[in-house]
Amino acid sequence: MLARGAVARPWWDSAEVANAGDFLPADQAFRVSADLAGRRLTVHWDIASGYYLYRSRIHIRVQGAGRLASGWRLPPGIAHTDRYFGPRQVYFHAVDASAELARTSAQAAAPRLQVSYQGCAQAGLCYPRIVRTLVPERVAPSSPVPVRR
Amino acid sequence: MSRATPWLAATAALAAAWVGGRAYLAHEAPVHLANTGIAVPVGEASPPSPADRIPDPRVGPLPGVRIPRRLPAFRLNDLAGRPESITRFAGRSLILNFWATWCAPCRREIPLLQRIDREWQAHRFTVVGIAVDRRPAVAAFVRRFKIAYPILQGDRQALGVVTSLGVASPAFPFTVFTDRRGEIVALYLGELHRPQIELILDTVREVDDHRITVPAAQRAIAAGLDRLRRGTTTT
Repeated sequence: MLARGAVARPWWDSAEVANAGDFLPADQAFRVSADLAGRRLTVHWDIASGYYLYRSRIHIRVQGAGRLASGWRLPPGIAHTDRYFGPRQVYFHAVDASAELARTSAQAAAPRLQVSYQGCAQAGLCYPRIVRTLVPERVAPSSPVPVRR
Repeated sequence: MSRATPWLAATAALAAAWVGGRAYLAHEAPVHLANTGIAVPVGEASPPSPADRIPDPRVGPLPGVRIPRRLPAFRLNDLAGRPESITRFAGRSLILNFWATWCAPCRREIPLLQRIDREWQAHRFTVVGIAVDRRPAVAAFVRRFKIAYPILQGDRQALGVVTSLGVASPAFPFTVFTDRRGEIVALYLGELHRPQIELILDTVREVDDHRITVPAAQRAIAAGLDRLRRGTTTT
């Protein structure tokens, strides 16, 4: 049985559900967070073991007055061939999407991100599109790595 | 035995679920802020997502809908767009398979369901597919894969049915097994395989033959699935 965290119990945690312990709720299978380091925006997904996210189903919308982000980058995924859907790129374990945040006006509000994504369990369960609104946590920009001589 | 009574008794559950369904759909409303930035599709081009999506638990608690004892009496459209009541199948044990065309494991299990439907007809079992999806996509899929068992379809309407079953945040596929009286014996989450479905159907048959009660059947199914998970076959 898979471990359950502090998140609310899933609807299937019920006597009528024959295999209640087989799957995680979506928010435990795919934990999403965001941070802002200087102007660098990063959305991070922690993906539980046995679960995967579709690269093509990740969408990010920046919200906030006068805020734009450009050049979102996702790393290449792992090739996953489905008998019916053909080749797809998916992510296991973790993935980051990152972009540069532009302040387009002096009164620009703090950014909020609307993030949508979709994934499945390898054991045979797919979650509908998940949409979450995130307020990036401000973190210190990473220092340049000192060059060793 | 009257076949109509259990279905009539289920209407109260459906009415309660309708309220829950409306609340669920309210959670779906997209977030609109006064000033919205540009949407950035980060990944590759993808087909539009279904109307349903997982509500954010941080928005607030979902209504406390529980899995009902009996299958609610609902109506959905068939693939020709005609309303069809699930009561049409009253008196048969049902295998209600909830699926969507975008769901890979849903697609994988359909050939098995086709075979099960043929093999178990003689025992008065029927597979009914409930596609929580748009009709054109479902119709094209059913034609392509020559699905012979009945398919009912709906987008938001089917979500209402899902909610009426106590399913607050759907994931697919899931399958509801009822006995001939319309009592819900089991709900199985995820892709079915032959050992699992045969275990459940054998147990439902025992309920139909009055050899076991529904709670006892639920315990037997859970124990049997656990044995299958562990790779043992002892009883």
